[in-house]
Amino acid sequence: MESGAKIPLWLSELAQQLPSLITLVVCMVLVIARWKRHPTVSLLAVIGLFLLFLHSPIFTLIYAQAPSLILGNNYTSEDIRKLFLVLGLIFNSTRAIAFAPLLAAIFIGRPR
Amino acid sequence: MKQCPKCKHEYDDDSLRFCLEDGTPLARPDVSPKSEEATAVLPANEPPLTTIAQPARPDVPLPATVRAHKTMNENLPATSRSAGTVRIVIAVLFVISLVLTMIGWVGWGYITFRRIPLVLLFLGVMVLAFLRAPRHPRVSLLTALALGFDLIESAIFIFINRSLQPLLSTMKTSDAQMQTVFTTLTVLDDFALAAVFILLTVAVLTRRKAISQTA
Repeated sequence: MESGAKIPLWLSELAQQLPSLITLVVCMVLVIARWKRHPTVSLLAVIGLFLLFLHSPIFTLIYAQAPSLILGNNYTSEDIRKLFLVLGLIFNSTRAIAFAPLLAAIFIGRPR
Repeated sequence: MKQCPKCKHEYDDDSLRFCLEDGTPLARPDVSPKSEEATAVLPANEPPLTTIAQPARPDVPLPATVRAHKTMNENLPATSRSAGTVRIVIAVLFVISLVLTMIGWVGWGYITFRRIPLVLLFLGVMVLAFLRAPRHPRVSLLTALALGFDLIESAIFIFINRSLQPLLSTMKTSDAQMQTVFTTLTVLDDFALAAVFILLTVAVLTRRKAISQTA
């Protein structure tokens, strides 16, 4: 599949992620609205939410482009399986990194 | 008999603890230090004394230390009860999440195996929420609910996704229909992820004091 033909596919897959993307934007606005009350916590939360916001569209694009970019035109189903295993591990590792500041913001700055 | 050490007013009612004139704690004038009984040590699980919070003169303000003691004692039973309930809920969520994840690893191998980084992070934070539950029960509950829900939902989503493929094939479903089914599933999965984001954001903002209040 040519890269031009992949753009509609990427957009349709992105459209399926609209609920979470819109939610992330609303959450960022809410956290920024509370910035003056607790700036450190808000900063951490916004970093986490922004990373999560970037994560899904970027990986949707990577998943669409990776097979042809990495494996070329001649690849077997076993090649694809291995590629998606590695991509899946990278996807979940980076998502864990994106979640970390948000989860840290929950407990930071509270009395022990 | 009791006597006020400040105004020397005497009271026959032994149940009184504070002077009705000036609110000073009453003492027994007839008890000398030698005849005093040894200090009683309450068992650790003894409920805190509440009589100190019931002064004879409600109009006389209590000393600061007594006020703090009173507030602490009033909040203690409710907080420990709710923390206990929260800990039970978190523990149940943790066990269900862990069991479903293990079933996924055994049943579908690499599909669930690649979620290891996220699963480890979420389970670790659930343990942290369990430990912090006595101090912040509501925040811990929200966090554990969000993470447990994500782990359980993901395991169920993978199960449905993998089970539907052979099922739809046997039903001779067209490619377009299959596409519609899987797109619907993906959108539902995304709504579940949105719910996780909402719960976590609420957990970040809930019971949070302004920076000037904490300083």
